[in-house]
Amino acid sequence: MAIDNNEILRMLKSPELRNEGFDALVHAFTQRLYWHIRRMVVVHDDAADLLQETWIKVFDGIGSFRGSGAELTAWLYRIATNNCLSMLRHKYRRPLMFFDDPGSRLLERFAESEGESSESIESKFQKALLSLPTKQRTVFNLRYYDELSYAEISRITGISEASLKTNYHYAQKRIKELMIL
Amino acid sequence: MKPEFDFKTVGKNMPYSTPEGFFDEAEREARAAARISGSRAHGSGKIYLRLAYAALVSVAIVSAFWLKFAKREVSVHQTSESEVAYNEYCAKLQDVDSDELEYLALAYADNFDVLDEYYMYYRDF
Repeated sequence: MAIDNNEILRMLKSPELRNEGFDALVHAFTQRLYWHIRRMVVVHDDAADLLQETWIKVFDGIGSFRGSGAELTAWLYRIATNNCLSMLRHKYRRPLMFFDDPGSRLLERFAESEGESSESIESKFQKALLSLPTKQRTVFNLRYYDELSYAEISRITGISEASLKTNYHYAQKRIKELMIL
Repeated sequence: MKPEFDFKTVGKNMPYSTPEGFFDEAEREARAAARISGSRAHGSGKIYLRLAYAALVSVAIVSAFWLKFAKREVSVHQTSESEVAYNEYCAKLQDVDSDELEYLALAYADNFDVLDEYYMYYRDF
């Protein structure tokens, strides 16, 4: 039976049940966080490393988490997203390009990893996503794939809900254009 | 009429795959790493962290004071690596079209409100 966030949080706050609560949390969110990270960084090995970094930070920081069960999901995604953005900045940033976005280098890594299947509609769709600026792609992924509410995405990204809605709309429009090319 | 892309044709399918048994292994590693992290942070570990933080803050304050009031000689003939990088960057920017430069500045700005305004007034979607 699936355990809900409030129950998990209750266990995490209890010294005797903390480990059990963390195990439940890991089981409930590992796949969701992995796929969110993978969509951000494309490469499986990078995603696997970032997933572990995320869980370590979650475990270390859960004692200071003051939110409710409903806010726990956004908190987890926020840690994962920030880890991804930090990695992307360090790994793919070209020197001297202050406005650089790692999308183009991620597209190269995507083409290397996908090989023969790179002409499928799913691949074309991912390439369209990777052509979006990183933050816009993050917002689109969280809304489209993870089906998070704008309120949750706002907590994750620090962007206002109004801006999120506008940017999701523009992202959809841009992807549609790229997919019919 | 120009055909429009339907997101339902892709849905949530992705071309990515994972090694067999990856998620079970990932969960095991996460639990193990958390146990190790938890044992290190137990008890007096946090006190030492606070002392280390206080020491760092003290060093930062002293350094700031020293930098403000200490006299230093600066060689006018040495150009730092950061200055070289900055000058090279400025040279590259001169080749960038002004419209494109504006787009780059706005597209990657942290403030999405600025991006919204750019999209509304400058970009023809």
